[in-house]
Amino acid sequence: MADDGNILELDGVTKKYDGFTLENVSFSVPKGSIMGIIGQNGSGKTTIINSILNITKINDGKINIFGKDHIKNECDIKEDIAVVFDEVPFNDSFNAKHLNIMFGGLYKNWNKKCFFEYIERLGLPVKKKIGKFSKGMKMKMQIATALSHDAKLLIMDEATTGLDPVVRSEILDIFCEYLNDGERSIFMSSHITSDIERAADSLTFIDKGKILLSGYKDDILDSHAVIKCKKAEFEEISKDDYISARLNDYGAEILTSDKENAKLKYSGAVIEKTTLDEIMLFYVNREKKVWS
Amino acid sequence: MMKKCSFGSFKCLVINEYLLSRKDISMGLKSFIFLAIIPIMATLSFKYGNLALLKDTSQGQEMADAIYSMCRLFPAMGCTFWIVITDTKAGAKFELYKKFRLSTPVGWFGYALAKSTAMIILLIVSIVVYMAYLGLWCSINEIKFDMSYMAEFWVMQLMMMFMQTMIKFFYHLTGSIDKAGMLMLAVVASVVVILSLILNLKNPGENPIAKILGTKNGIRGFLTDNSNIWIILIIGVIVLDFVLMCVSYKRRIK
Repeated sequence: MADDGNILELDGVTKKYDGFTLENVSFSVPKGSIMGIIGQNGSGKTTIINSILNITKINDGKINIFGKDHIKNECDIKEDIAVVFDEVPFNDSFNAKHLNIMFGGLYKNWNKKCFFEYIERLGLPVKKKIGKFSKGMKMKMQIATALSHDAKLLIMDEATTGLDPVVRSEILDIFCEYLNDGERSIFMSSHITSDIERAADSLTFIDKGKILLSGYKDDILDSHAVIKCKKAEFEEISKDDYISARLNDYGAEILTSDKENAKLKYSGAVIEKTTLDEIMLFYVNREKKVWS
Repeated sequence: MMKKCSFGSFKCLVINEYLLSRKDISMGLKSFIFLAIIPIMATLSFKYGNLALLKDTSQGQEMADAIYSMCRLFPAMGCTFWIVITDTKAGAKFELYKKFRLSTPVGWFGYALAKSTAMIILLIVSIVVYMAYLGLWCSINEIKFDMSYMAEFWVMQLMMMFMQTMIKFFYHLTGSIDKAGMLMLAVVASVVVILSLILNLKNPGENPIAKILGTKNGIRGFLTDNSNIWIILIIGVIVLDFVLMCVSYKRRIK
């Protein structure tokens, strides 16, 4: 875990709530990469982000950011972190000029010039109140503030949810630019798996407070596959070889986490590439094993 | 999580407090002007206008007394615009802002200090504004300015400050801004009832409005005689408020 190349490391993080536990969460985000965290509503994505930012206190485990303890060095660490929330936390009566004053007081490295350059580039009005912005404009404003203090880690909590594909694409392009120097990383949670699929290098899949998958996105997509077969053929597939199976009138779709093994064992079946959406769906139903 | 804050960034944080509350500050100033104009006009009328005809009657004497009290009490009530520098706004936005605040590098001490500084600056502004008003009132009445005229102002400041501090205290206990507001109102209502009962026992038969406005033996005498105590209490409440703010800002989201 104590790898110098990691910007963020979580080791055995546990947070207990009444009726929900984030259990023994461990993963790391390497420098210069984007990690996406996916999962259903209430799976623990926001709890992880709150724990990283010490917005909520963890019960157990260790979080290191830039190689430093996230509580002992909280203020120093936060100078280099930018956060984009799913909703704009700023006062509705504020405009870009007000935000410039506010952020000037919050971050040592606040770059006024860079901020107004982003404002111009993103086509945002300087004097218009945030309350009168559209959802896309509000999100762009948050991103402009987040990228204007030379942060090394950008954390986004469902930031692209509710945005149209054009704005989402524009934002993802900016993020790719932001990572250009190889020293920065992005940790983003999203329901929209297509965004993660497009932008992320690695991903973590969380369900009911437990990590089900964590690793390089391409490795995860390469190792998983959907086996399509008739119902009669499905009976021959060993339960140990798949995560869960969806039955329908025409046959079965089965998610396996070992594509190569499936190819060897079930050579007669159709084995197709899978998507993050499908992986999420089949894993969420893993306890039922067979569902329709 | 205490962090050294440069003067420049601290100044920005204080300005931010004013930006957050600028609408409320301007509303406060407008209501002060409104509450100051009415008694001033009444005084002018009593001196030079139609009400001057009542000057030598017993009814006129009572009225003069009421106007005298009104002139000091009403503007003092309106001169509490520092109150807007608080964290006692309810709703989802408040919770979101709290989350945002906790995600920034400024520690609890920096935020609490900026808020208290903004509050104290605004309190000083309201003192200056009220003194300017009193100067005008004294010149109309052709009397010499005396610091004892500030008594109602100090008490009003103390009351409002105490109410805000109570909200913070109850918020700390309950974790809900709505519940804190309700509890504060319950305490204030109880205090008002108890005070009314005490005044009734002290001066039975006196007109209750006259009591509130502080004629003769009522509140006014009590207020004026204890000016220094009010100032000490105000300083005490400011310190208490700051401590509660620090405790509240240190608190994480559950």
